[in-house]
Amino acid sequence: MGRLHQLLRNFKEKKASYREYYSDEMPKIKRRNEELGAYLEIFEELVETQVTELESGKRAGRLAGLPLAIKDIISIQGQRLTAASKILENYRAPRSATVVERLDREGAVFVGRSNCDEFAMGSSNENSAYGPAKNPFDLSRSPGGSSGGSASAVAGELCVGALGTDTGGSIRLPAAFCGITGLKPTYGRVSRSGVIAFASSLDQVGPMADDALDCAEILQVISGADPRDSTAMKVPVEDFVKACEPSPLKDLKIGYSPDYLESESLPEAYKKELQEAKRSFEKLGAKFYPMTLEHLPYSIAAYYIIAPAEASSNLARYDGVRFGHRTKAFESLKEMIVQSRSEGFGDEVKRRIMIGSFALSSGYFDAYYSKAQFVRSLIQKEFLEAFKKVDLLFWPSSPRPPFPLGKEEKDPLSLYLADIFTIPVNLAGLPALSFPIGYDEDSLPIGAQLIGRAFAEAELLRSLAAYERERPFEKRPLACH
Amino acid sequence: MKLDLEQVSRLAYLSLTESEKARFEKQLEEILNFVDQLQQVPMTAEETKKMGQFHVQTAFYESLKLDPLEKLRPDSEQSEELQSLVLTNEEATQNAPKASGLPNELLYEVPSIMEN
Repeated sequence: MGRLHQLLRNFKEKKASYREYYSDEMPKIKRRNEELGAYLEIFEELVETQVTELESGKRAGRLAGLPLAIKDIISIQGQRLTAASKILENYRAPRSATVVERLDREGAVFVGRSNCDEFAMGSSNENSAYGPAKNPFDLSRSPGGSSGGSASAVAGELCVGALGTDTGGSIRLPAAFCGITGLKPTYGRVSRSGVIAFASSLDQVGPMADDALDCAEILQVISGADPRDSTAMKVPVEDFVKACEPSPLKDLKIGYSPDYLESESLPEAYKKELQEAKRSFEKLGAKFYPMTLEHLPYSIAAYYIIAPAEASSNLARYDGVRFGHRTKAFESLKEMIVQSRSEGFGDEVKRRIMIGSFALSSGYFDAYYSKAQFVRSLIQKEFLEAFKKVDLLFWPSSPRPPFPLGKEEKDPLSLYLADIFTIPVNLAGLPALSFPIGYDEDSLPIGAQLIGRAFAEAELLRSLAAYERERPFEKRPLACH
Repeated sequence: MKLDLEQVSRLAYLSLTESEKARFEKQLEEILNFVDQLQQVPMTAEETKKMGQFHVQTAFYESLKLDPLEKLRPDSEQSEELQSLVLTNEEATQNAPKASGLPNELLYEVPSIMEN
């Protein structure tokens, strides 16, 4: 059982009071955060207020008392919200995001805003303007990105669950690097209202926690239509927690790509653990079918046109007029805007805005943007065809171990390539989860993905919960104190 | 692929230092050379035109046989509850670098764009 459910049980059985729990935990959280940099800010006052509300009974619900981390691109009313960027250094959210309101209504406690790559753009968390979060299994390595702080906080036991966002793998890659479970829901399953936009046709909020059941508990609360977000669809929200109850997988058909599972570039330990995980699903009765999706190799190229194009549009609002950083030295309105943006944005954000501006510019639109959208439509169709034959797809989450910090930031393209297994899912709008399957020779976690049909989160969670019972993931000692 | 960095940074409303120019020029060219592999995928002129207006959500709904009219909220004036979520003048200006005016009628202050 994951720590989220253990703690729920402890509170329910009154093995610990809310006050005792937080009195014990907060000093540890603060101490560990100094090592990990998982939180950009710990909300001490807010936690105190929420614990007092829990004691009085004013705060209650299915998540009552659970300490959660919220990625610093998701609004919590009255709290700072920076998107890990200098341009929003002093911004305070006037409203809470819908997902935060829903967690709040169910009694969750918001421990802090978790570190991430600036505007969620990155795979290593090194694009945070406030320094990177660190991997709790090896402090010299990245926790992944962009939701690296959320993953680091869960794995480092600075919370029992977290919210991340996933535009090209930003929940699943950090989950894999930190040995936790992360679920990217179907596009339209969870409201994006109050979440700082990066690439609006790809962004999605999702849970990160120890296991399937813990993720299910959070997903249950945050899912569903929202009048404040027209893309949050009115589709039934199944009982995700119930889906995690024991059930056989004997009729389950799982597709896999031999090119991915047996790729020469994949580390040997990864291949071994992927085969072990595959065998565990087979023991449970699932049947595996090899399949190749022809256009997936073009995913990264398509993504790095579409996402920057949308980012260049979404980030046009940061002009130093209504909010955010305003330069001190300017003589005209245009100079004020240009200088404010140039001083406020970091390198990766500038790179992506420029790529996006280029791809959308006259003379290049058809060759780049239209072409990328065309490839995206082909990838969508290929997934749909695949799901006529199988129920789930099984892939690695990452082609390589967690990056050593400070080594790759000068070569953006090499970091982009690490998204090869996660990006196709975003382009197709599908749900996928990353879960831990073992360790490599350096005791660093290895992750695998299950990908489902649109709105098949319950099926994903059911399958993972069965796998976890068959092959539990044993957490090794952390490098933090 | 040779990139006109001056032009692109102008479009992006960014001004680059000399060291940024040197760094970004090389990196952006590498990225664009990489994404050029998209040109290997054949696409007809008709498909090019169609993709210019490609709407990912529409394609997503079509592929799932979902009726957007049924699954999405109506594109109409919102309820009073939602109207109440519109930021007040004070909330809208609380994060402004500079605002001035009467209470509850604050305006964002920016440099003048017309000479007296």
